[in-house]
Amino acid sequence: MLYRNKIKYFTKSKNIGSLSVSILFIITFLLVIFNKTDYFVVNKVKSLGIDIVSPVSKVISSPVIITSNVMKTINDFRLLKNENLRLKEEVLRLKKWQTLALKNISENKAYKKLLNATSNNLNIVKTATVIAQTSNIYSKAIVINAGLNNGVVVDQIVINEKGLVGKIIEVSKNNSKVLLINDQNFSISVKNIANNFQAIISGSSNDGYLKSSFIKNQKKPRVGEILITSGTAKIFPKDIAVGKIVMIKNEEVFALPFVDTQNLNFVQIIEIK
Amino acid sequence: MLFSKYLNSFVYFNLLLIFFFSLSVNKIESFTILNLLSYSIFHFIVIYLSLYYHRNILYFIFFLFGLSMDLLFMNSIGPHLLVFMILLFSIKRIKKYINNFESTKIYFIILLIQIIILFLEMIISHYFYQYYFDHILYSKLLLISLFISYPLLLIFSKIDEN
Repeated sequence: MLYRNKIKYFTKSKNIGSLSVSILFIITFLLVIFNKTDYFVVNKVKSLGIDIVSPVSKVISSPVIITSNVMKTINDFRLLKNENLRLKEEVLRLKKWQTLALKNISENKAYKKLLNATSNNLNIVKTATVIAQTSNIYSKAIVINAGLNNGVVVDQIVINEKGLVGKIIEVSKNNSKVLLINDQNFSISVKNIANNFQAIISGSSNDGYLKSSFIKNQKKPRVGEILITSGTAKIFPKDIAVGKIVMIKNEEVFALPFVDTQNLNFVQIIEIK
Repeated sequence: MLFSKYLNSFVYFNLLLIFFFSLSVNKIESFTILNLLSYSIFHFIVIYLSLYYHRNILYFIFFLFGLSMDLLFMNSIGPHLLVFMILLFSIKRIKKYINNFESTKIYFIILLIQIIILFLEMIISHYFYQYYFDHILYSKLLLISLFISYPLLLIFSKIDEN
């Protein structure tokens, strides 16, 4: 009798409804608490989220993305003539730099031989393709098609041919999420090439710029100087190109990252040997 | 049509929810304003659904969207999930009073709720996960919400008629 009453109670849709709503609320609060305490269940949920939601949302939004890309291409065609002239000038300028670079490479090789130095301390874990880029509403991040199966782990560094791209913040079996260098929660210790200026820089609310949050000994660099990773925190390998100083304002240094975070196609995940 | 008997206005709103969710989480390079626009429309749909289509399945739908949005936007769980669930719960409590209001008042209430939930999401993400409270972004979202609110609610009422 008691058993039959119990079944009757649960089969009443209103009761099931309110019970499932209560369970959902409990799960919500548990997830928030687990996320704050970094409990392993949350990591599973996060990697599942990246694996399932990211590709599905990409497919659904693809018609709009394709249309906007087509419009951009048409717009680019209009500017083709001016772009061509600008590129011709740039090619001439870069050819001069190439000659200088080739000379420096051969000189470097000779010096390394003389010193018996082994300077390459980086190991490429995987070269990956960018499969999605999140909008800039909260954080600036990309999703790449390399994960645990490829030896990728959290906190590894991501670079491309131009310099530092960001770091891995979440890994699933086949995908990973990369926090971009221009995100406000991304901080990195940098120095100039002359090694007389050291600072910690992070992303700013202005999409394109990196901003100094701490400058060692309050030394001021010059506009135009190149910033590279200092490697002092032992998280990032040293001497990776980060950006160029473009402005110094109110004791703050603003730099433009070398990497174009808007147009990322291929990246490399690296680790210190 | 094959699926016409399953396509009612509740389903349409849910399809719109999925579409605008996808548009707001994926970056559209050439028209970044579309991301903000979709994000704003998504929130309007969430409010509209909670106000006019309140049912228990919505808790589950909002749970999934809130969780996905948190994971894709900030890689942490909290702001959107909490706000959506609490919004639905609160609207259920105040719905009976709102329903007696005239349409202009309801319009302003929806707009006010939109402003409040956008603020709550940003403030929770700031205090819980140290995300910078971007005043410029918040102002942009408010302006977009203000501009699109009236035509959007007109479109929503047209969908209601289906």
